[in-house]
Amino acid sequence: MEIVERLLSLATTSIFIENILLANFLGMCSFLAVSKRVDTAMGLGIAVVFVLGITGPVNWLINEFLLAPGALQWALGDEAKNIDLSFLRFICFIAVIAALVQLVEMIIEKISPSLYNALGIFLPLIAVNCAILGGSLFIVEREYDFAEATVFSVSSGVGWWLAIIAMAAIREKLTYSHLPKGLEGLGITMITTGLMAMGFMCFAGINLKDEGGDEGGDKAALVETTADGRLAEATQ
Amino acid sequence: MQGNGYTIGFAAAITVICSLLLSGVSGALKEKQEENRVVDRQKNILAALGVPSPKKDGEGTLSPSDQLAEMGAKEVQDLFNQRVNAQVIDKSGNVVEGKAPTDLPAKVASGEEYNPELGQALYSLKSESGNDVLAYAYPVTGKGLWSTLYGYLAVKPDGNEIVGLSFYKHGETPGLGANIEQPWFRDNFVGKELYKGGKLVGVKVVKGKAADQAAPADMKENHMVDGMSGATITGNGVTKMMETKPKRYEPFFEKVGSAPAKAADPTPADAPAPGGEPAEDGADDGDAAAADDADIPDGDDEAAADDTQNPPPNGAAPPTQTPPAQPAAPAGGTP
Amino acid sequence: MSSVAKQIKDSSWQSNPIAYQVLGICSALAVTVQVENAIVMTLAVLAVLCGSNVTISLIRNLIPRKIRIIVMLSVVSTLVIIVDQILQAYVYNISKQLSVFVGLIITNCIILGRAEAFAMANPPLASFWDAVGNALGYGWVLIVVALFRELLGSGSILGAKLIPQAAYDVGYVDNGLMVLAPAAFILLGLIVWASKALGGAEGEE
Repeated sequence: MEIVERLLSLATTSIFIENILLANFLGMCSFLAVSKRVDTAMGLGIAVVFVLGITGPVNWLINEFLLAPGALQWALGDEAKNIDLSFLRFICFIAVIAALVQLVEMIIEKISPSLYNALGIFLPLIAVNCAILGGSLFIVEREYDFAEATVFSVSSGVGWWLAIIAMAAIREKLTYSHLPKGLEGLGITMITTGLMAMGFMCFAGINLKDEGGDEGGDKAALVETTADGRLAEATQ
Repeated sequence: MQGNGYTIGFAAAITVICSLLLSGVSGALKEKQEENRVVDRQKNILAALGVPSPKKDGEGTLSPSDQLAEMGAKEVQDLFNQRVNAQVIDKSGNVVEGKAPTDLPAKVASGEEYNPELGQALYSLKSESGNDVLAYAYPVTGKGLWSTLYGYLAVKPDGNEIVGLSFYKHGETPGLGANIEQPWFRDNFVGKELYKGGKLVGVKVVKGKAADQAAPADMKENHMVDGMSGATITGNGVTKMMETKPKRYEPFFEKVGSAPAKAADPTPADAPAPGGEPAEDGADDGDAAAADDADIPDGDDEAAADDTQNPPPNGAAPPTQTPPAQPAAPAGGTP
Repeated sequence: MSSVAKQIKDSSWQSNPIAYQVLGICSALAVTVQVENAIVMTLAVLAVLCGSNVTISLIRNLIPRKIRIIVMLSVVSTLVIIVDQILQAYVYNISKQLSVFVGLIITNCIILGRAEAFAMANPPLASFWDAVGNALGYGWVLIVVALFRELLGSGSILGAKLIPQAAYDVGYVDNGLMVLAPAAFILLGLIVWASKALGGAEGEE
């Protein structure tokens, strides 16, 4: 149960509270370029969820079994203990992303031409979307396990999708408003994004879990002040 | 347009050149990076232990971390080797001779995993003369919003009063949770206590100001610190860490002779009735508060309480506790 | 020389990447809480951009068109890794703070954009100056945002306290919002507005 709770709260955190776009500024280029209309935004959003959801776990596997210090032990035995290929991380991740995007594109084209028509043009764009590479790098940085990595990738993608649809909807309305000349276009988009980011920060109040069990602490003494939730520690 | 053969050849050439370049660079810089990591850990241990002691200069007081930030790698290593004794203790709290934290697997040395068979890392701070132990630091880890927080917690030899806390690795949001490594947050822990009436309660990172909490005055003063706005979950991770991790080191502090947990066992948790008094004189005058607290459960274990009053328990401590500076393991940090 | 100066001015002001090309914003903002980080980030981008532009330009006639994107990506990632390794070796503390954002230079649209648009078609020297100009253009926006965020959010610049203690005693409070993400977006929006109003290039579309 504890694992489910941890994963759920990780999902909520990465979709809402620390949205990969609004809090970490990842994937801004395509966000700004493709958020003019809701339907294209929708297409790109789905494509991002798709690609991020696949590349995150795949890159996790690559890192875990090929690149991390001592990761090659499973293949080469004990003498590989000191091999540390982590300096190849960036180049491997970006290669995996580019290759997977290509692969996904081909597969979709074969399997579902209609989906391909909807997503096709966005897929190449995604290879250089920093949200994708950023997601993979965050997974390594934060030392997620496989389940966490998968949940984090998918929900980061969903968070990105949500943000771009909301933005596109706002921008469609914005075309009817009278803005100072200099503010039109990029200026007002950035400011609106800022306000959206502020709105998303309000989700930080979400509490998924009440005070959990603890080991060793004298809770009676603290009970009055522990109204807020707390993430369960998986170990111990 | 060139043929496929050329394309493949070109791709192969690029791959070879890039990989040669990368392994060259990585190999050349590896040593330097490793040294950085080790020095960074050592800096953090020293900062937690409050070394070098705060020093006045023209404009104000330089905290230990300020001074450490100014130091070169060599100076930090010298200071570390001179003042800190990096040891490994076993599950019953005895020092394992001839073993340094660097001999432990990384996850055990950082305190992330606990393995009774391998032991755990402990760093003791020697006084200038080298005879007394002024404080102990041990690795602690907790779960933040995003990632594992790695740090060191330093306590007085009574195992109760906090000397300092530092974090060397985490993946928290810059500007929010990442503030755990800022001095203004860490300094709040100095002088706080881990034990209350002999029980491990830790130190709670509250929402808002500790002083505004609805809690008994002595809880507020000794067991709570101000929170970081916008980083509740990170704060909760620190709270959790502070109320669980010190447990592992209880056997050791019992051995040193002043374990707060043991000393107070006979008195029920709510019994420090004559207590309340630390509340008045405030937690800030560190030594006095600690001594007070240790005095209360005086019941059975006089020796223990006595020791705490003159912190360096040189006489009482079993000789193993302050071994004559084993040829200080050059790297105090975890591998 | 004046033509070089003009080229740099063009790319850093008149057709500024952030203000007018909507490029490179991604990794730009997360490191703007402190000026120091922004400066290091600018230098890192400068190094990578110059390196990639010159390299690509040198081999521009050799690269098979079919695989040019992946070739560019490998050149860029190689350079980024080198920069990252150097940061880790010499400014460890800053590299800890920049964390994944150094890696994200790879996907910084300016780098690939300039490689594709300029370096593929121009000789090395011109590509080099183009890179310098673009990196500076990227850098000044980044540093201006960081200046505001650090000054208003922490009351200091480059770590040195600028707001006098007296102001705090009277009741001045650092603006916590400035440290958070929304402020970066809003500041960037205002900078775009200001630079448009001051008459950079015409329009963006």
